[in-house]
Amino acid sequence: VSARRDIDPHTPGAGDENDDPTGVRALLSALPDPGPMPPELIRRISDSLAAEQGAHDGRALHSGSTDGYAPVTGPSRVTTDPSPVPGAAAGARSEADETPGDRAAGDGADDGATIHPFRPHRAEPDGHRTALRRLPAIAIAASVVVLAGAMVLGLVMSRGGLAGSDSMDVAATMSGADARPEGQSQAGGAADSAESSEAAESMESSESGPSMDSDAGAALAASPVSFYSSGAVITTANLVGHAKAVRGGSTGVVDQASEAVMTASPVGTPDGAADCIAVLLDLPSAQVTGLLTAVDFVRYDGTDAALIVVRDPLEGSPSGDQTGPGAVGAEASTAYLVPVDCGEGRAWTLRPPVRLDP
Amino acid sequence: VETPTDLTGTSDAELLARHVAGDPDAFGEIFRRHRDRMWAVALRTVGDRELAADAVQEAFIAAFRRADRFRGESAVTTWLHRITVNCAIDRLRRQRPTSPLPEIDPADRHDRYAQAETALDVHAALATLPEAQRLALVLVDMEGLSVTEAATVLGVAPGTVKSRCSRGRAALAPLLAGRTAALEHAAREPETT
Repeated sequence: VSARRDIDPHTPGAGDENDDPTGVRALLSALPDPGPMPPELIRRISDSLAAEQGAHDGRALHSGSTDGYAPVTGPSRVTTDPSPVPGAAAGARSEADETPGDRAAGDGADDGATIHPFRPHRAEPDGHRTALRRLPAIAIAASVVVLAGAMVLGLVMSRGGLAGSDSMDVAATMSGADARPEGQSQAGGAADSAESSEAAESMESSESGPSMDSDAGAALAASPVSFYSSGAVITTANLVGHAKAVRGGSTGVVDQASEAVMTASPVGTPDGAADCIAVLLDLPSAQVTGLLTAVDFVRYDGTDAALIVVRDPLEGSPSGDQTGPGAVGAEASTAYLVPVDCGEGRAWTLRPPVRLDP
Repeated sequence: VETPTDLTGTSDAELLARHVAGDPDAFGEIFRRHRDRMWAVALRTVGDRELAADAVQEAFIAAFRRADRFRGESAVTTWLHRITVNCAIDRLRRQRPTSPLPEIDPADRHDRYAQAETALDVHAALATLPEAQRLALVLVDMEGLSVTEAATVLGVAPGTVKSRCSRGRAALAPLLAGRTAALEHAAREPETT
């Protein structure tokens, strides 16, 4: 992978021939190579570079590239933490230890690397690029509307009692619907269309009906669960912040790939998410159901994952007047990053659970 | 229009020039050639896969955008090293207020470092060094750059790199005394991939 493999770790390099009396250099050289760049990261960067190329070419597509270079539509962008670098301007280090990063902070520091979900690359003849490029965006928007509408209706129907109700009621029932990002707000607002009704029927035919006891049903009625598919790339650095955003109902984007994952995942339903957490915490599923706040389908370490936000059972209450988004957002919670197939025999966390203060 | 395969024999500097001139495939070839090396540099600099991923992504985007500033006074790979190291440093600084070191939870059964205790110790020891010393050791001792190359990457004189390496090794020695023998032994074992 790197040139270091071609270097005998016990052969001192130029300039430091007699400067390893303790063997530290040999020790450092002997550490295993990190290996090649992970495929998921290659895809991520390729997508970002493709977007850069598109911007560079005046939004025109180019053909013939490899590595998954592809156009990226605006609404699908997820920008990593754009906050300024703490300490970069503060000059926290001494002059002697200063690196070019201080003097050339523009070398990537302020660029705000953009993470893009993958889109299949398609090359069209130049004369048709502009018109054709808009078609996928229209199709994507339409499918998002249909799928999100179906999800909304399907989820509510799975809770029982609301099947066949007006879809605007459905949107009002979903926790955090008012604070939802543009994509999901559009989905909710358009859910009364004929397409979403048809999609909801399709969802209904593929899902089993509700089978919860009355207590669990009451808990659900008091504490609806919000489902998102942001596709956000979760890192150690942004886990807490993103979990709080999910709890507050603002994940930023709707990612189609993650939305598809959510549709197929057992954690993509209130019952499935509750089962996952119930196994994790060794609690009755019905008890957990009332504590669920939100589930977001994300990416972690190159794989799909689900971020489940659960109200703290010691401080939150599944009943009472804490049903609004603001009430939920003001409670202490815990976020669990789990595999998308989390459940009996597959219940574990991909990162240690994080507590979210009110 | 050339296909990417036509670029395999083109030098890095020429690729960068072609990218600046508008060749849509040139930078893709640069990315293909250097992505593994830059990944290793970023990962060893920050010690955390997620942070390294973000850093190396930022680095390649920055290189893409600022290719016109490359003056050819150093090798393209050295220029990429410099950008990657800078991005990695920036990521570390963003991380530092809440998590000064990569989190290691002994109770986390799936922690990726659980099977690399020795490497973790080394990384933890490296993290105790001043940033400049740590970067010098990463580039020279871990990545195999020459002192001159590392000096170019870091923007300092070669003598400064030597000094930082020397001081860094001296500081690490007592922290890693128990690991030196084991790692040296492991280094002599046949590589399994």
